[in-house]
Formats: sequence, C-alpha cells, structure tokens
Amino acid sequence: MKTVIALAGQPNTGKSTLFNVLTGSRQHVGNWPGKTVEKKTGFFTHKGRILEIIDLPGSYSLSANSPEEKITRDYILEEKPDCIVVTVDGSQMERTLFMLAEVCQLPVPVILAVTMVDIAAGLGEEIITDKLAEMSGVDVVALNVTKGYGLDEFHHAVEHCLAASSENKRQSVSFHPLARELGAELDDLQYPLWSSGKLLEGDSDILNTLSARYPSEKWQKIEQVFKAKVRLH
Amino acid sequence: MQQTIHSLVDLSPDNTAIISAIQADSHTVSRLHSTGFSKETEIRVIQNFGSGPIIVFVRGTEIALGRREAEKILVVPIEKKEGK
Repeated sequence: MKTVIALAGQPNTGKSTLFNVLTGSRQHVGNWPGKTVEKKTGFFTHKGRILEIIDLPGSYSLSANSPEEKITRDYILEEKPDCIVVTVDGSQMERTLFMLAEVCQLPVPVILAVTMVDIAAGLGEEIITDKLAEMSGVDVVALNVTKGYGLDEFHHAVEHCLAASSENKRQSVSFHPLARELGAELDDLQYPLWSSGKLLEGDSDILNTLSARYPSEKWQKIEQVFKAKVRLH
Repeated sequence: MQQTIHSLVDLSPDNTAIISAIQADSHTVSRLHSTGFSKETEIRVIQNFGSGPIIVFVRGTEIALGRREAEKILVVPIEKKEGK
C-alpha cells in the first residue's frame, strides 16, 4: 500500500526546499511566497520503504480563500494523506503557526517542521522543539534543510508518525471551546472539529454542504448552537 | 480610562494599537485572520499616506493592506507614556 506524506504550510516557509532535498528533485524554489501554484508529487525511500510526498501550494489556512488554497484544502480533506507535514518559518513563528492550528483539528498524524532555524538563530531566537511538541501535541523537528540540519530527525519523525497512524489515530484538537461544543453535534462527520470551526467562521462552502446534508430539523438545531452564541468578529 | 475605537486607516505612521474587531464579510475576516490579523493583536502602522494602501507591522511581518480592507479593522490605540 502506498504511503503518502503531504507538505502544507504558509507561502514561503520552505515546503519546496524540503521537497527537493527529500526527493532529489529540482523543482524551482523562489524566494517569494506563492511560487507553487499546483501540487507536485515525488518519491523518496526511507529504510527500504518508498514514500510518496506531495508539495502543496502555500496556504495561509484551510479556508480556500484563493484557488491555490482550494487545491491544498481539497487535497488534505479528500485525498487523506497518511501524514501531514506543516512547515513554519522559524523566524516568523507567530504568523506562520496559524496553519498548524487548522491542521490540528483533523484526525491525521502531523509533523511540525520548523524551517529556517539558522535565520531564527541569527535573530537570537531559539526553537525549543520539546516545548512546542508538548504544547501542540504533534511531533516537532527543527530544520535547516539547505545545510542538511535536522533531516535525520525529520525521517525519524515520519517513521514515528506513520507507525502511530496505523495503531491509533491522533486525537484532533481544537483551541476553540465553541468549536468543541459544536463538534459534538457533528460527530457523524469525518472532521467534526474542523467542520465546526469552519461553521463558526461562516465558511460558505461548509455552510452549504452541511445544510444540504442534514435533515432540516437537525440543521436547525446546529444553526441554533452556532448562531445563538457566536459574535463572530 | 476612556478607550476610543478607530479604524486602522485613521492611524498615523508609528502609531501602535490593538485590534478590537474586524467588521467585514466572513471571507475577508477569514483571510485577515489567517495572515495574523486577529482580535487582541498588536499592530503598528509603518506607512499611511492618507490614500492608497497602508503598510502595517503585525506578528513580526510587514504587510500591505488595501485601504478598503484596512478600514474594516477597528483598533484601540495604545497610549505611549513617556518614561515607561
């Protein structure tokens, strides 16, 4: 059975660089965000096992706010990769971690790859991977891909993640109490927490899908939960 | 202390403020959220010519915003107290 790893993360956080190093490919890497506008597939072997890796277009969220973001969202939700690697820029952690908060809501094994740790170090910032792992509940590796730093740890994390995914799925996590409450109403869905988060955001795709999916009585109940309590902005 | 709410476009360069609300459609809100503009976030104006896009510093990054989007971001300016 083929094993698929997807690279997701905000634009210009090092997905394509990591992809190239892993696969030995020479996909063009630009020093500007938004270079990858379609997904690319490659392969690499680890301990005799062939792994497929997908380089997804950079995306700020799983909200499908642009065509490239839609590619990423549809891929992650529909193709169900065995493991998602979320890249964040080590020198821009606060801004780029948003994607992790989204992906954490899906019951899929996740690795957080903190890239550009050399630049972060230059700014006097140290990435404490243990602490990040403890707080986020996912495997964390620090990488400086071009120098080859952290690649062994990365392979190890992939191995760990895939082993875990075959035993028991990672619990999805939401940082929003209302999303957790609403998620309980949507427990027949594949991604209850993520879907409830999107309902709270007012995501029109999800609103339309779910209102068509549920019988009107049930939908009214769901609507009550999120409309009554949400002061969105 | 009285807190006055302004639109982001009313701030001058070097003014710092806290985002209190984003009054826009859900699509715009979602896009702004994902790029780091969320409630309670500190934001500093880098450039604002009074028309055209404005440049702000938010969560470690400079971001240019269209004026129409920036208008929808409501902020409470932070008073800079001397000697503090």
